[in-house]
Amino acid sequence: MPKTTHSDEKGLVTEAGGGTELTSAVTVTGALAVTGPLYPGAGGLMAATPIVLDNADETTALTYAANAGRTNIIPAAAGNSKVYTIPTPTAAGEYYHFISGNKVADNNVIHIKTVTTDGSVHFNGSIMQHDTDQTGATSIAIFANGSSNDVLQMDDLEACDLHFLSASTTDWYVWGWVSSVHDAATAFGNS
Amino acid sequence: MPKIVYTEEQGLVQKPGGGISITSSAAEFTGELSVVGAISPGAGGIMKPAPVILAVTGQDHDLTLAANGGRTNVIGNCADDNVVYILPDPLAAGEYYHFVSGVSAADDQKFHITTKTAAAGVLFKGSVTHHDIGETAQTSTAVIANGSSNDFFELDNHAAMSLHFLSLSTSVWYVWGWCASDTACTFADTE
Repeated sequence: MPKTTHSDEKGLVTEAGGGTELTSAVTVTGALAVTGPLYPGAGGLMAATPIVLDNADETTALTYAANAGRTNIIPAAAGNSKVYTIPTPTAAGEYYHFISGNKVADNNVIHIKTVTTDGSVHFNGSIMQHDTDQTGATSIAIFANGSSNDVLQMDDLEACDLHFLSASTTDWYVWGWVSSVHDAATAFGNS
Repeated sequence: MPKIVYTEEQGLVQKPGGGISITSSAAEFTGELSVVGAISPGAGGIMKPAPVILAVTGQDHDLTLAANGGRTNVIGNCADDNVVYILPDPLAAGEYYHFVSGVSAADDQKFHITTKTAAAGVLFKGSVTHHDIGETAQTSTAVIANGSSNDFFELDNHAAMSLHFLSLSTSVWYVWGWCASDTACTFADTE
């Protein structure tokens, strides 16, 4: 059962024992898949560079390569037709994160949708809506129906922290929260 | 000072210099990967492992590091008030469990998350924000573990949540996040 070690001093060495030990900075160009758990060390786990999304008053198709596994920053929208589509997952574990990049409350409507429009790929789970100009109840839960809802609408966005994680090629689980002054318009719906 | 370079064209090559560079469409580690330094993802970001849909029947459910650790665990509508999810005692600092709601309407049952070792052997520290969706005035409160004996978390009628449990040692879990329901969540001691 050979053990492989690498150090900058000795290079690659095979010795008795098991496992692989790399004592060096490692750069991987391309995807890295680990079938077991991943334990970061003292340096912790950094995040990928965030992406500031396009704010044009149109549909923006997000991609797995450019937007998945990252924090996507939603800027103030240029109109009420701003739509971000999430690509259909090819496996469980695909992940998209959204936060707000607003300086002040937006005054437009934003949608996050699946690419499919027939409900075949849909949202499950629930998020919180915090109504920032309400003097009574300020927080409500917003539910996806888990069967056909494939659109999340947000109006007058002020802040958000939204997570979309695929459980299969058809089901996204969603969690997080949205703050806005227009709570009634935050909703899951059908295309 | 040898440098190891791997490319799909040339295979493994040892060169002058230091470090390890792997250029491949898909590098795969089978087994556990522990990194002493930082992990910095590139353009593809960091995906997540597939989420786990937890059983919701009224009994004790022992979670495991292998099946549930490092993952998002989805709690749906519970079958009754006696659903208990038991965190395995941490073997080391850094073990992590994440819980979200997978409900399509507010639940009408309770669930509990407890440590495996009762009687303060392994306990909870930290706090979560509870959003009371049945309240008509102030809706958000901080719910704080006592840090000395609480090893039991209860949430009744959950509507939405994102709860994180991270081990500081083999005897302490730090808890943070938020949850929403019409009844305040609580930390307590195992009865």
